[in-house]
Amino acid sequence: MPFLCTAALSIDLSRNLVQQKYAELNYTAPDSFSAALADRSDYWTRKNQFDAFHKRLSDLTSLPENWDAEDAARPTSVALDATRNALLAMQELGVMPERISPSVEGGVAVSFLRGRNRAFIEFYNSGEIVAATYEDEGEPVVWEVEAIDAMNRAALDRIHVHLTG
Amino acid sequence: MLSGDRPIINTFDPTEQLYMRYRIEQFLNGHLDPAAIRADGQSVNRSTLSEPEDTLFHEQGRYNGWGVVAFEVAIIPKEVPQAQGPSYTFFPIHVPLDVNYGHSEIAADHIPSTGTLKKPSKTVAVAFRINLSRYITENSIRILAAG
Repeated sequence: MPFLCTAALSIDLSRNLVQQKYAELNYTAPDSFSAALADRSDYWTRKNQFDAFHKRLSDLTSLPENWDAEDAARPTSVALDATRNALLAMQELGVMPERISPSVEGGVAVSFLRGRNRAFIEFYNSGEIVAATYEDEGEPVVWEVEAIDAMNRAALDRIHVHLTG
Repeated sequence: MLSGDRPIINTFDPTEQLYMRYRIEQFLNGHLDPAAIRADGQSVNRSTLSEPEDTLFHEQGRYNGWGVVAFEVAIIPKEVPQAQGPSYTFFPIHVPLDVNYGHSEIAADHIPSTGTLKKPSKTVAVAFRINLSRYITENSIRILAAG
């Protein structure tokens, strides 16, 4: 993790230095060059965020039974593995979750938020997956999903369109 | 707060407040996280028979550090449809505990009513939880959870 932070910082510094040099020469850096550096910086930022989500998921393995004092089951390996696979697909598609949390219904919940647009995926301990898109008002759109991974991205595509639409 | 011989009262006015426990990390950008809500038997306390503090009472201090939100009976979704299968209705029922007379739960049944309680399908459950979570905001907090 320190290496990743250092790498991201290094890219930001490089970009600043390049822009500074161009400014000294009273010259504007080509857009394509700046964009390429920005893309690399965004990549590392995104990678760091997804690393944090994977860490959060690992932390959920140590939750005790009845973790919510209301008899909630701890997330099982079925729910955790399904969420882990989905996270890899989200990272590839650039669909950034807002939060990963244990569900009181037994499993793992992933929440998404962009402005007024929200989405929610629940990975149940039973292996079932349910996704939803919604806004501050109106009926949520809820559907069952067979799998979310590198080969099954339809639900994430739908969520991505909702969040960015 | 003890139930004693007091009766079950299953009449809920739409304006009656229901108190529900929450933890500080269960709020997401001003709303209660749907992942913090149960679709089948969510535990609440009714305001006509208890105070917000009663919701946190436990002899072993199980709920120390938890907070309490309040919402009206009227916001409980009355009808949640699904693509395949019956629609569901949700409603509070009075379920007194020995040491918590005001204890209640949010239950579900099919539409039309079967006269029994029905566990909602997964898609209906998520729709119910999302709908309820949208009404439970930071303004709903009656006792602030410990951070």
